[in-house]
Amino acid sequence: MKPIKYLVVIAFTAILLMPLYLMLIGSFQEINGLMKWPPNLIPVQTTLKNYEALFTDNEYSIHKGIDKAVMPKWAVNTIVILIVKVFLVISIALMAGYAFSVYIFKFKKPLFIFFIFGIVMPPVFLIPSYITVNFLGLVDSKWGVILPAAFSAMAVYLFKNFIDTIPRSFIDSARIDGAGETSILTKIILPLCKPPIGVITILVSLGTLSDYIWSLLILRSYENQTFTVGIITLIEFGLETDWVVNPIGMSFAGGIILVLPMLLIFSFSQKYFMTGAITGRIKG
Amino acid sequence: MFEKFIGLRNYVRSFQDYEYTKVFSTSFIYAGIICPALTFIPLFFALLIYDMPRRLQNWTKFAFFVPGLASGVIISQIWRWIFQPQHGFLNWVLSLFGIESVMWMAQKNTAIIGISIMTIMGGMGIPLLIYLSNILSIDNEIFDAARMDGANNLQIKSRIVFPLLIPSTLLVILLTMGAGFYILETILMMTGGGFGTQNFMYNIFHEGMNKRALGMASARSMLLFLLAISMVIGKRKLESLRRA
Repeated sequence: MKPIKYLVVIAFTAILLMPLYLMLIGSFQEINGLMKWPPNLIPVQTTLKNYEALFTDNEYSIHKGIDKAVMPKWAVNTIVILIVKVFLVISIALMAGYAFSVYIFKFKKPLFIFFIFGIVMPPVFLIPSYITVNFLGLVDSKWGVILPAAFSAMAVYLFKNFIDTIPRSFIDSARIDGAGETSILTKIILPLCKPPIGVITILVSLGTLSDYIWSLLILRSYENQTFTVGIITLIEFGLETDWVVNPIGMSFAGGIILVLPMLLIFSFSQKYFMTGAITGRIKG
Repeated sequence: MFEKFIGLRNYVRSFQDYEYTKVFSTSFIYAGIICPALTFIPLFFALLIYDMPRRLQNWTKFAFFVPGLASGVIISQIWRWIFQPQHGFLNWVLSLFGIESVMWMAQKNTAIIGISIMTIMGGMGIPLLIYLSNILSIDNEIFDAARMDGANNLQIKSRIVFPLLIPSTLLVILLTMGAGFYILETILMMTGGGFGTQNFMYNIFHEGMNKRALGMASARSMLLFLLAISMVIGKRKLESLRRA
């Protein structure tokens, strides 16, 4: 009985990781290695040509009329967007979470429930958000990607729940000592809030790295694109025109490059995921 | 930006549109495949692994989570090759069992199944965690008492742990109910909305971005919003029923 159980678990997890494994070994294959029947399941005759095809200057740059590689530009764009986003999300959500946790005001409960709907709904608002951003004239600017994401209901919820657990006497004694609300927030609450800040940074980074549709819609010109959209654009370009010898291998290489930073973030933050600090939201 | 007020005409036109009724049924087919799979596969594995060594549990959690990280567009890069009819991986596996090669992404039924499989593989991490954390919160005395009474492992799992997990099973059902409506990137990369694979979200994207009919797309977003919000309200109703 026991070995069968182990076998089932190992086999199923192997199936789950199979696509990523195939992508990894496929990204080191020549085109004839990918067209083979039966397919190669272990890496043979590896080559780095697929990665080279992505990174060296290529037909895409010529097509767009630029003489230098666009990849570093995309990477810088993504990092800038990421940093501004994390900063805005944390500062806004910290204040909102503090207000929801500490103050007593009219319509607090219905307003909070309204916020919670914001966690469940986002995909529905794709087109309405696009209309709004277009109306504000933010299409093809980084702010069009940053601002809609700057307010995260999820982050507010995490901060509120965390500040709820801070003993109220901390805040009361600070008030008695004559601290203003700003200094309570920055000197007492903020230093204690490291766990939710960590969780939110991870979530925002993963979200930014995996975001495709929204960046594609907003960032029109190629030099404004994020890393993810850029790589996918390169791959699509390679599949349409035939400037690469091995478009399939290049698409695998692109996928691996995109998945690597996320895997790194995930493995460093695994304990947050596994202890349910992130999934805790769902029980709410 | 909007030229003139046309009342409810976009809504009326949506419901008269034959294409949109097909989108409706396709979305519910997706939901009908994805929701049970996302509920019961992680439940099965949670019941299987909770008393196994810690190492294996962590490995399983890792394997359930990682496919979800490489979401949508990224994972589509490899699946396009896996579903490839001539030299794809899946057809090779099927040929080992003597099954003829299938044009996965070029037929309605198989395309829907393929996209569902991709979505299911990406979404199992969080349900598994919900189940495992609920199992961890079960009082150890219950297990001890059952063992004293001579229950074997299978009996403990089916008669004690599983009934205690019913609330979280309900929760997962409610969480994953809408998953089939929101698939967008996968459909975009795999079939581009062809072969009858459009669901609500892709249809909204298609109306708004490909046809530039922003009004119609907003109306359909509103319909999806009503559907989603009724599910959330239904969830709250169910929860209050459970507490009563």
